[in-house]
Amino acid sequence: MQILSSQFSDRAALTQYLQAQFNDLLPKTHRQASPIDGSNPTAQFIDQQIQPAAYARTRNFYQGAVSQLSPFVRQGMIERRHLANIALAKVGAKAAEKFIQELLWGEFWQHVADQRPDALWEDAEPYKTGFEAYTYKDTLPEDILRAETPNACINHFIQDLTVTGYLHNHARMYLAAYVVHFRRVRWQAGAAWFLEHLLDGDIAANNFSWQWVASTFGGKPYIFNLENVAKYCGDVVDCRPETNPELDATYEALHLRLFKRATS
Amino acid sequence: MTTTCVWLQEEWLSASLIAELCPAGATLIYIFDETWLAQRRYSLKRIQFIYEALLDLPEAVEIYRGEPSEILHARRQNKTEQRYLTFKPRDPELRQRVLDIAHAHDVEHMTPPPWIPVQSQSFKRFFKFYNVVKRHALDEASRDKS
Repeated sequence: MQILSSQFSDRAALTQYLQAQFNDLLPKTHRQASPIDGSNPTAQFIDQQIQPAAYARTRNFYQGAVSQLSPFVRQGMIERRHLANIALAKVGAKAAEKFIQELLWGEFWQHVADQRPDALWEDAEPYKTGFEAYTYKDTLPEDILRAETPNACINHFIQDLTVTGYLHNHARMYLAAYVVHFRRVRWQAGAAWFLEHLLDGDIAANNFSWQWVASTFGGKPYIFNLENVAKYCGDVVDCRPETNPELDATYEALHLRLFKRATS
Repeated sequence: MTTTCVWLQEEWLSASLIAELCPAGATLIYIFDETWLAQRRYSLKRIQFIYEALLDLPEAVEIYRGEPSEILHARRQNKTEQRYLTFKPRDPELRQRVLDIAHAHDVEHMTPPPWIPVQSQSFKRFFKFYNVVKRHALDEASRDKS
């Protein structure tokens, strides 16, 4: 048993202290602090971050008007209900609906987790990829852990995840699909990896979203191609074909390559 | 007067919730649970984020690293607190662990009120869930707005 300090001269001193105190529990790749501060966000900051109308238009874009408040929601510092109220007060029910819908996804996943706690780490359904679960690798390849895959955009997303602890939702889906379908790794390995790093890492939303991408909690596997990444992230992420060779293909070609044994 | 110790949980670090549900004058403690941290392999990013949230709470929090069972047992031996409380986690795995420890150490648990009332119906797909709860969510939000 150990009592920890509450007095620090600045954030860097806190980081240094925690690195020393938790050194034995932290894998080598996990010892960086996030640039995102866990101090309670001000009411003004929260208000600024909620732009429901812009959210409805731009949420799928990497630079879109997402609130980025999810880490504070995960820690219970802000209630989803409170965010819904702000959105409603700003623009009314119709224009706030997409934003509130997104908040309700979190409630939905929690509902599913409470109903199916057995499926948090087990396949809820078989894969619809044409491959049996046992054919997927159990662990993440080193090049993924090191952000050294053959694809620049994937490496960019991995860096965001491991350096900041925050990742845009669309990038989470790209990364999950890359891990499960392009590299044929079990979704459980990727889900655990996300929970290690994401400041908003919530097992219900995280694991069932991975299952949805994998097709073990949904009707078909989710995949993407480079053209799609370029459309939503091309202004900030390297989406050149020559630096993303595995992803530069049509959906038809990818389906043939990734799911060639699929029956549907 | 009954003295109370509240064992905070990582999903409920809300100053307003603590003020609302915890007895005035309660001692607040937080435990970085070694077993839990090893199981989930939390990065420093996550640990520091939680730590900063704890430091920013208006009431001082005694922060520990160790096994919750040992720490609660030691407090029972050495302190004069008569009542122990904790929050029921949302994470099913953390909930199981916390409730097991709470049961073994006579710690009562509090359940913060949910935004969406618990549904007896089981939903497999989001939009079926959404169609049922949408009205409540928007109505509730409307009520709070006024």
